[in-house]
Amino acid sequence: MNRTSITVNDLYKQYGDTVAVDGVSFDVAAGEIFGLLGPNGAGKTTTVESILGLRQPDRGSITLLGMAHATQARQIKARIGAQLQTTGLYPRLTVRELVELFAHLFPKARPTDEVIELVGLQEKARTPSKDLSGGQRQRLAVALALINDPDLIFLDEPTTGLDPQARRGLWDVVRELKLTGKTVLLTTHYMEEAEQLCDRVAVMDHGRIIALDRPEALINQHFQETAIEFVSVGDLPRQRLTELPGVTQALFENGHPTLYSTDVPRTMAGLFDLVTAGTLAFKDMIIRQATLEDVFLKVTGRRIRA
Amino acid sequence: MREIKALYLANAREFMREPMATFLVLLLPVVLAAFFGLIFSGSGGVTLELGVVNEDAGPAGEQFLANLESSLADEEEEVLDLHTGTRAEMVQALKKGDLSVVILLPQDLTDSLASEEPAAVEVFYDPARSISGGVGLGMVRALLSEANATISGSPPPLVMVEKSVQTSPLRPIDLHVPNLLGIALFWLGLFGTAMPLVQQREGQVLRRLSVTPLTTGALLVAQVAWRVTVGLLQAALFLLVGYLGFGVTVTGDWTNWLLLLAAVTMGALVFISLAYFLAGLAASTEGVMAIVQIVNFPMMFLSGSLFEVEILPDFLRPVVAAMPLTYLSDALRQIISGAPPLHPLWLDFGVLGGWLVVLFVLAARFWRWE
Repeated sequence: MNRTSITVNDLYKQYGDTVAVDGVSFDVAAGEIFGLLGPNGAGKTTTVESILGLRQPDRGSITLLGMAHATQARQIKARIGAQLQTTGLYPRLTVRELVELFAHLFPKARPTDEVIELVGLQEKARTPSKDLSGGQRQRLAVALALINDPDLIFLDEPTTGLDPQARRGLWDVVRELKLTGKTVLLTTHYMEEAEQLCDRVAVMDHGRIIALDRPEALINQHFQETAIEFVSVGDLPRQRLTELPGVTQALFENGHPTLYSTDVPRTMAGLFDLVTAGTLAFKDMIIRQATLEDVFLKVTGRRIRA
Repeated sequence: MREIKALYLANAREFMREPMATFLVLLLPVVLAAFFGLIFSGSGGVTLELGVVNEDAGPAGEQFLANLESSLADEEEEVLDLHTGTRAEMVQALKKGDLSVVILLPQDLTDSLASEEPAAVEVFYDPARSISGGVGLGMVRALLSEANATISGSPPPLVMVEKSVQTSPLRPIDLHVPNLLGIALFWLGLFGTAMPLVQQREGQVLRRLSVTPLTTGALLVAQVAWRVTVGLLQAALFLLVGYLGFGVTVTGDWTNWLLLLAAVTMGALVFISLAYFLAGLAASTEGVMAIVQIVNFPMMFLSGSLFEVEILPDFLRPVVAAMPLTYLSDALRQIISGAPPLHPLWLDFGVLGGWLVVLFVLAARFWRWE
């Protein structure tokens, strides 16, 4: 676990006037599942594609398995597998033909059928890729990322567009990869996914890493509180809400308050007093544990999926 | 080698399963060859529709017509169709386009001849139809001078004896097969290479492949090898259709077959390089379709593959002389049918080789993976 699979140091990439990645640095240890979490446009994909060598960063250094793209691109590519956010495939080739094609592009490969089964596409093995559903295409892309039995696997939003069942199926695949000692770098904008899968998570926003730690450490570090969310009807007495008993912090986003409380019963009592007094009306209340979503909201003031 | 084979197979499957590309590249040219062969299976010459209005009161007009008919009956090929009728009928038919030229024999023809006065024979034509009209006027001029000679009674000082320079006569289909094969190889580049390349780039196939250890060289070899295979397949199809349908055979001995192999491969390579260059210029599928059409029409029409370049105006000659298809078609005509050369074979191959180098450099310069 102490060997380093990926080292990214001060990565910087600009498109025109837009800074996509603004000085990102992190290390991923061998055997680790590392998550890049953030909203669309946070710079996750640009970071991953720079690490893969698909984009030339303006600044910064990248080391993969102890090698650099400039000198050992082919050796690197033989030992990594990548599922890109949009994977182009020959549209008229079938699932099996595509997996076989990619098997032939690498010096060594896993058995075709094994990989197809791993992602649950046995039924679709004879279907041309253009006739697959979005979720099936995504799973095929993951299969192609695993065909060369890589040491290091990149999954760029692997579960976007998958139904809940397929998403859990893919989580199982990732957990199995971890059991066999593989290193995985995945990006996601699903909090739950990051919490469930990742050993460590880097939270990204506007091209920067704003927090990096184990998921539970991130939550504990920012919150000992319970979150109380509700949708207010009519005017919002912001000041009064902030001053309720037990509330350590109140965040307001589009008239949608989230109160973080160390003493839920007393906070609730205070809320009902406000309702009785006629200063507050609300509906759809949720009381829950703090999550990475709250971390993101607290650090950026925005929800991750705005 | 393994990866080249796998990619070659992938390209082949993708191509064969794409009905439009298969049709445009493999079938359409062959269908065209068969079609051209059928409509021009006759003499290949132009038949002129000549109208004669005889208003002559005396016998001279009748005599002229009788001479004309008997001389036409002697001709081996039917070059003139004779129609007679009233002035109104004939002029109407000329306007409708049913006739190419109309001759009017005047009322006083016999009288003028008797008094040895010159008789005015009016000739009507439609300047809008310049080719049939122009050829018709020339033919009428010849007819009249023949008639003049007959009337004056003096034997013609110069007589024409027609001799073909060809040892074995060439039929139009013998030229259509190599000409259309040239166009087919050209389309293999435009429709079978440039368009799929841009589509693959837009579909990010190439981008995905670039995250594997596959080298650019291996990818190119596989793509080009498959398309050269298609080119050879096209040549085989053409020769088969030409042979079975119209008895077109490749002249000469086995060295000609080798030359044919070389010409087809060379042609395919030139147009595949052209396709890579065009695909590099185009930003999108729509873009490449526009560029393909811009290149397609001039090359097709100005290369002498659809009609002979002699009828083109002079200012287009340098364009004709620059087109690679001009040289490929010329080489194929010579090799397949033994047609008279426009340029010596070595020059055809030389120019094609030059184009290959230029296009290869341009293709490499403008190529982009995404």
